[in-house]
Amino acid sequence: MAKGLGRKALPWLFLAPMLALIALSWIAPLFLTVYLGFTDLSIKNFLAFIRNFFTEKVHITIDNFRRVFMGGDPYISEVFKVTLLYVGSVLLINAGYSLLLSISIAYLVRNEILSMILRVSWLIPRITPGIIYALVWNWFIDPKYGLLNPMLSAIGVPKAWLPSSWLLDKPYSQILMIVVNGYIGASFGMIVYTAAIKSIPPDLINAALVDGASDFQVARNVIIPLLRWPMLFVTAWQTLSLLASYDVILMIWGSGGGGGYAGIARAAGVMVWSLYSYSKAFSEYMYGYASAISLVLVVIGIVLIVVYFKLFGFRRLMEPSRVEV
Amino acid sequence: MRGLRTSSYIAKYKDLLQDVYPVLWNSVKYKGKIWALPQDTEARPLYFRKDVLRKLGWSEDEINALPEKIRSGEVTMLDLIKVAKEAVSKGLVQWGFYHRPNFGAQPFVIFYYQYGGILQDPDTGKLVLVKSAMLKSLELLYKMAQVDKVLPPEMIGTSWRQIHSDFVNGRVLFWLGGTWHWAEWQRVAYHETLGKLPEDYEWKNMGFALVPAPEPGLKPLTLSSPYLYYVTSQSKYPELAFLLILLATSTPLDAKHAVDSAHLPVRMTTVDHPYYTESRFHTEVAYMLKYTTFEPLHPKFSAYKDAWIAAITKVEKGELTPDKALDEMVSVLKSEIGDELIIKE
Repeated sequence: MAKGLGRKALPWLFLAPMLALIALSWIAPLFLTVYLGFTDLSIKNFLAFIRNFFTEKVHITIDNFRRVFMGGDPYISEVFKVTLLYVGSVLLINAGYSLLLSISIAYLVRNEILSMILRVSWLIPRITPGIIYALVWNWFIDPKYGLLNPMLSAIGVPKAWLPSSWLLDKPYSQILMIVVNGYIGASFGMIVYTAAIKSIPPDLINAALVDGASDFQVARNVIIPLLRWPMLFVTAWQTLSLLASYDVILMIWGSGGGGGYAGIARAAGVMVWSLYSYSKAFSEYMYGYASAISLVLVVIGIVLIVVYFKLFGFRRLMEPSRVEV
Repeated sequence: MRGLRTSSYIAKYKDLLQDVYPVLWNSVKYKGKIWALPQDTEARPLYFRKDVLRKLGWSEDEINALPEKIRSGEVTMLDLIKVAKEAVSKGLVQWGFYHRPNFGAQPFVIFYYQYGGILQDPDTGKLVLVKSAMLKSLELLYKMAQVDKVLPPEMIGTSWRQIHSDFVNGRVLFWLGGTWHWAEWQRVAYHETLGKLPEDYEWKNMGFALVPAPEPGLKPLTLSSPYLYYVTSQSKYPELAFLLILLATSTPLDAKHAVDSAHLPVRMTTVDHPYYTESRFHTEVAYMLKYTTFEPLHPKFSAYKDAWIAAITKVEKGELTPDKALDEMVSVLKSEIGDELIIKE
């Protein structure tokens, strides 16, 4: 009896550190965000709030959500549009382009050393400290001293098409926002896809080649169908990451210091939802409203994951695989 | 933690605080009460290139008299815009003016104050928007960037390195900067041949003055953002803490801090301290404190700044006219700040 109990408890014992970590770093903040989202917490009532934490003295209200959804915030619709553009476009790079990149590197490039060098080169932005990455981009796009405009001119882009400011001129500022984030994100998908492609039994690919399939047909009809799991994982992971990411935008558009980064980001058309929440919390000290804004992201993230499960056929993916990948 | 109202201690130790620049008390007041002691301060001058003015035909006397003429209101921003246009048209500089690439208060708050704007109601502590002053200040920036083309339309977002490099190398005639930049140019190699600037080079080729009155009849000003010493309301020995910060701002320490960190003193007696008088720059710039102004102390001022800088960016780029930008700013501020904002015509 005691032995049986011990066997049952053992897995939980091993899982305990991870569960504790998840509870501390994910469930507790989520719970707090939900709670704060329904309060009017700001710098003005901060001390009183701490004293009355989780008591009936805290004013519980749905005003924050009314402000988000009923037009009380003049920026929110613009922020939503920019976020849609940002998440949609960067996701295409992170989940779509990285797939093409992985097939090119892991399948089409037969030389293993060259393939490794290419993989490592795509990892450079990911392993570079964020602030250095942002700084390098700031130098690169500088209209006067940066390399970007001269490089574009050298490949034949007319001068009239080049912006005088990559930071401020729309849509160039938004293209920049997409590219700088996509360049980091693509490496994540590339690693996952490449590992999956490398684990496809060579017999399957060789059989297709013997049957006369072209490389394109192998990629389309053999490799991609076997990557549904990694594709679901990368798409879902990247969607959640992008919804919550703002750090590179903050570092590039707020690099001058001196305050007002949120105003500059708005004028440049790069104010994404999570940066908006950050600015509301840490520039304007509207903690309750910022939590409500974040909560909307959590709900959107959950809805999107459910949609992805449907799109990728989660049930079928859970069935025993006919091929070991 | 909340700051402790220090008014009672200031009254008790007033004999030890008589030499604090009176204007600096405005920076620590909220709803008429004093909450802190200023620790240090600075000023935001208008720097100018003497070498470019020489090439425009100005005599040494005319160049040396410029700061005083700005101080007296004889020379205004409108006059300097004309000078800048001339320098640009003759190919002596690429741009007439540079200002900060972010909010940083200079010169936006200064222009707004010069046109009669106020940012905080002294009695209620609420933020204030005076529409006529804001419109005038936006119109001035529009004129500089879009009409006379002496200011880059994409000034906001320009890299700091480019700004310093362009001014230090003489590609810009006027730079609306801060007093600490004088020291920065000596410590960072911005100059393309000299690297770090010797101070002699600065005295020979650069000058500084108050931010001129935008137009005749208005006043020159500058702006400071002092660091402040607070005593928290949780302090067990608040009077002892107050005496400690009083000592920390005493004349010898004030002089040492001001000179070593390229800031300005908080006490009038500091400007006569030997350590301070040894620094020519500090001595010559100290008068600006009599013309200084401050940003408001208000938790919602960040929201105000965000709406303001968005308006400035759009106006300078020519995306919105000043009146349209003001309308947008007013509607945003009403929504963001609500009851804490007073709008005046």
